[in-house]
Amino acid sequence: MRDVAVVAFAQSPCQAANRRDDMAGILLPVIREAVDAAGIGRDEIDFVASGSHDFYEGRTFSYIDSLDAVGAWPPISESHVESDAAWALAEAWSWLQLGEGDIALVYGIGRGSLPADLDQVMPAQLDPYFLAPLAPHRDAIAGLQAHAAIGAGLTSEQGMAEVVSRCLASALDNPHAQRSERVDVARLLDAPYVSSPLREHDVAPIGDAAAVVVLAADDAARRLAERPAWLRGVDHRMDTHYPGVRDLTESLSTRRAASRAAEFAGFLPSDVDVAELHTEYSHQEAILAAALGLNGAELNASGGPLAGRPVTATGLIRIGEAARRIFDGRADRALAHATNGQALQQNLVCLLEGEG
Amino acid sequence: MTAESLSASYTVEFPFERTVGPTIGAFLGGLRDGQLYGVRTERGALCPPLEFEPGTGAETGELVPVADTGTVTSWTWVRARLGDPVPHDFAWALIAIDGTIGALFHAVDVGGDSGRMATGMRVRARWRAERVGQLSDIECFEVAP
Amino acid sequence: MTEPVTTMPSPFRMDYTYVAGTGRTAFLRGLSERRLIARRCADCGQVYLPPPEFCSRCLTELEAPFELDGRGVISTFCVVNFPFPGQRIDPPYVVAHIQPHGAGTRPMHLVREVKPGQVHIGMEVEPVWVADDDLDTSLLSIRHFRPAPEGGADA
Ligand SMILES: [Zn+2]
Repeated sequence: MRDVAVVAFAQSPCQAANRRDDMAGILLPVIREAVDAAGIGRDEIDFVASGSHDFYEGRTFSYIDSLDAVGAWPPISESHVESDAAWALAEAWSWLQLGEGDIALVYGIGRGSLPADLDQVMPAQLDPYFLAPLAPHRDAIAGLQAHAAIGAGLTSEQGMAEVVSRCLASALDNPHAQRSERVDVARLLDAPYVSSPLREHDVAPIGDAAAVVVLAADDAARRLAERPAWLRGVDHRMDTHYPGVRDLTESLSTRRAASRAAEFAGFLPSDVDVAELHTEYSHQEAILAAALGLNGAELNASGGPLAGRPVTATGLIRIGEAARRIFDGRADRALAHATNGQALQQNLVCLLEGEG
Repeated sequence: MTAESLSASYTVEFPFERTVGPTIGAFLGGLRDGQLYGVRTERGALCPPLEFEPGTGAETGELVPVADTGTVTSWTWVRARLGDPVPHDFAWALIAIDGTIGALFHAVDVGGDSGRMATGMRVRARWRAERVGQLSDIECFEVAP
Repeated sequence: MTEPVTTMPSPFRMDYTYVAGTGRTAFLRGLSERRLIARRCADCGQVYLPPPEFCSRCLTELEAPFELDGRGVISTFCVVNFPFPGQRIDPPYVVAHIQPHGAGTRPMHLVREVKPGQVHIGMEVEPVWVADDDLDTSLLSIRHFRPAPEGGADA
C-alpha cells in the first residue's frame, strides 16, 4: 500500500440557493483556493475525480459544465461519480494506490436548490417497483427510521434536539455554514413536525456549494503539506435498498466499512479524537456512533450537515473537515463518514491520522 | 458582486416503461387480482417479494398467497399533498404482513388523526375497485376491525 | 396462479430552475438587444462566443466584452430529415456549426433561405434577427443564419 494523504481542502459557503453562478462559477474559486493551499500548478495534478448528480442539476451529463473549472484542455485523466463526491475520493485513493500518479484533485458540487420540489426528485433514488410509484415525501423514510430509533431506545426527540442545538452552536465558528445559532432545546421541541418525529431542524438544510480535496501520495504528500492527514483506511459498503427488509435502527454497512477501514489503518474508530459524520437527519448521529463504536470523539465540530447540506458535496466536506483538524494539530486521529441513498443505505468510512 | 444572473424554470419528463421480471411481475399480477403474495425464502415468505434474499443473496422461490392484514412496525406522520394516496394527513408506515417476514411500505389512513397511529396497531389493505397491476392497486391501509 | 404483469409505467416529471451564470447572462442580455457579445482570453488569445467568465483552458478571467456582427462561415453542418416530437420546423432543414469572423468558438444554429443541397462547408453566412417585439434573452432572437450576399466584405 502507498501512503496517501489529504494535503489541502477548500469549500464554498453553503447557500440555500445560489442564483448567480453556474457550476463552473461556483467551483473555480474553490479549486484555486485548494490548489494554492497545496502550492501546486494544475499541470502537477495527475488525476481528477468528481461527484455530482444529474437529478439535482436537472440535465444529463451536467457535470461536464464543471470541467470548465478544472482546465480539461489539453485532455486530462478524469473520472466522475453520480454520487456524493466522497465516493470520488475513494476512487482517487484507489487510483493513487495503483501508482498511476502522485497527486489527485477531488471535487464535489451539489446544488440542491435547482429542483423546484425535491419531493418530485427524491423518489428517483428509491426502489422503482415498490417505493417510487408511491412517491413518498422526501423525508418519510428517514421519519420511519427516526421513529424506529426512538423505539429502540437509541435516541429521543429531546436527544435529537440536543444534537441539533449542539451542531448549530458549533457552526457559529464555521464561516461556510448555512445555518448557525445558539438555540434552546426547549424552543426546538416547540416546532411542528415535518415527518414525525422529525421537525424541520432535524433535517439537514439542503443547499448549494462546492468542495475540493487534494490528495497526494508518499513524498509528494510530505512535500505539499506541513502535516498531511494520512488516509490510513478507506472503505464503503451498502445495505439493501428496500427499507422493509433491513433493521433501520442499525447501520450494518457502516459497521462493515469501519471494520475494513480499521484493518487498513491499524487503529479503531474508538481511537479517534474527532469524527465528522454525514448526518442527513439528527437521529442518525446515534445510529452512526453506535455502528462505528465511537468512544468520546468530538462529533461534527464543524456543525456537520445539520448546519449545511450541499447535496453531493456534503460527504466530501466531512473528509475535508476531519483532515483540517489534523492539519492544524487539533486532532491526531480522525474519522470521516459519508452516506448516499435513503436512511443511511450506503456508507463510506475514512480513518485519518497525523504524524508527529 | 452578488447580483443574480438570468434564470428560468423548465420541466423534465421521462415517460419510461419498465420491465418487472418474473417475481415482481407475479406479485403485481396478484395486486391486479386483489390478492397479496409473498415469495418463499429459507426464513419464510417475504412480502413484498424480492428476486434474491437480501441477507444471503440466495434466489427466492415461488410466490405464495398471503393475507392482506398486518401490523405496523414503524410510522411517520405527514401532511397530505396533491397526488398522495390519502386526501388528508396520514402516515407512511412499514407494515409486517401476517405470516410473512419483512415489511411493506405503504400509507395508513386513520381519518387524519395522528393520535390513532401506534406501533403494533393492526391494519388491513383498502383495495381499489379498478386495479391495473401496480402498487397503487392498494389505495392505502386502514385500521383493521 | 395469477397472470403476471410484464411491464409497469415508471414516469418522472420534475420541475427545475436553470441558472445561466454571470457569463452566459451577459451574452443572453446582449441577444435581447441584437448584440452578439464575445470575450477574449489575454493568455491564449481564444475568443469565446458565447463567453463564460473565464477561459476553460487557462482558468483566467476573460477580457472586457466586445461585439461581433455574427457574420461567419459554416464549419460543418447536417441536414435533418427525420421528424421528432417537439420539432418546430418541417424537415428537411440544415443545422450548422457557424464560426463567426473574429470568434474562436462555433455556436450552432439553423441555416435557411437556401436549399439544403446548396449548403457547403466554408459557406459565408449572416444572422437573421427576429422583429424587435420578439427579441428575448434567448438564442431564438436570431431566427436563423442565411447565405451572406456577395461582396459583403469582412469587417
Ligand atoms: Zn486562455
